[in-house]
Amino acid sequence: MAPAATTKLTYEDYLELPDDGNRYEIIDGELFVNPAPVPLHQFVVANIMFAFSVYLREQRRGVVLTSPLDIVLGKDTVVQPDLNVFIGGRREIIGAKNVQGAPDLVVEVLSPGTRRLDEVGKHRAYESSGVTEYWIVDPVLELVKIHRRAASGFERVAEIGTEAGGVITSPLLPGFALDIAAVFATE
Amino acid sequence: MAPAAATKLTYEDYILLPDDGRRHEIIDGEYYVNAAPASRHQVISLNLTLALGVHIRANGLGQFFYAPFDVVLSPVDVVQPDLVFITNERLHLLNDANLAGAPDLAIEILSPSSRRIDEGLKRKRYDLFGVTEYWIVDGELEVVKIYRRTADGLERVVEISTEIGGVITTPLLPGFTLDIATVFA
Repeated sequence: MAPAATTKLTYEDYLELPDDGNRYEIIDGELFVNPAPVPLHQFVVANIMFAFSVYLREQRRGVVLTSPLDIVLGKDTVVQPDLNVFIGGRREIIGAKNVQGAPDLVVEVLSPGTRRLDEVGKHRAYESSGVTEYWIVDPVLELVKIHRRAASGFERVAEIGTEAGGVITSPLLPGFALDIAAVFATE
Repeated sequence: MAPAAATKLTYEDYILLPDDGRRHEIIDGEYYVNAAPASRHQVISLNLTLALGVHIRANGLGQFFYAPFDVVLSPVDVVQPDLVFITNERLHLLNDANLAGAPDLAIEILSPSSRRIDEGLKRKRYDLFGVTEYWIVDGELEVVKIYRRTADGLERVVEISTEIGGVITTPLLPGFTLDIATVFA
């Protein structure tokens, strides 16, 4: 007897997952489980969150939300990116229980176990779901890779690291400038 | 009394290190040690060794070594790259114990503990001491990053991934082609 075809998980299945402290995501029907991130990861998220928050409020340009937060990109794709930025009217996809659709800007901070997921699987998912800009932050190399939506998908437009120094900017955030050293500061 | 300036370790110190299966290195006078690599690392190493080794031998292009093999880049830099290729032009740098100088091609296969050094400090030392080409093989992302020597030193010229597909070639090995999928098979 032929084996049953692998079933794809959906958002309905996702909602039934246990509330056990694990971080669950479903991408294209496949389940991913991640352990809690380490303090360095959290420092980096906090640094970027602070910079986004200050800018978005002062400029009244939009909102930023961190995980945990269900971003439902499709019926079989639910992710919890580290940072989600919604510019202007895009904030309307933020519902009472979850976010239905893609943020304008998504930031993932790598953990040792999530490199492949963030750089490949999620890259694909964000690219095909309409995310405009996707930042991958690597605390080990102290590097930020910036992917921006172009005609045929994401284009890696910049790599900014503490080694050479630099400032992160974005067409989505006019006037925003974040020194790369500030991203990885831990005091 | 002022403290003594920090002393840099040298090749003389290196040869006293234990032969315990771990990878010991001295980079810019500082000591680094890594545990023996994991299975996946070794599978990737074998894939590359078979492809490169066979081609190099068949075409008489030079000498090929896999770790452990000492490369003494300077009196304070003794490294053990995962894979090393020396063209016929640099064979005079080879002696019974080690390679006394920079190889033409150095290849490092990343492991979680070595990634930061391989991508940062080691790349800079390879650049400084004249390695012609440096490949960083990332088994997790299934990507090979190729750095090639230009007027401004080692520059990253291409990244080839199984995600997009592609073939590795290099001016150092005429006629050599390696499908990226084979590297990570």
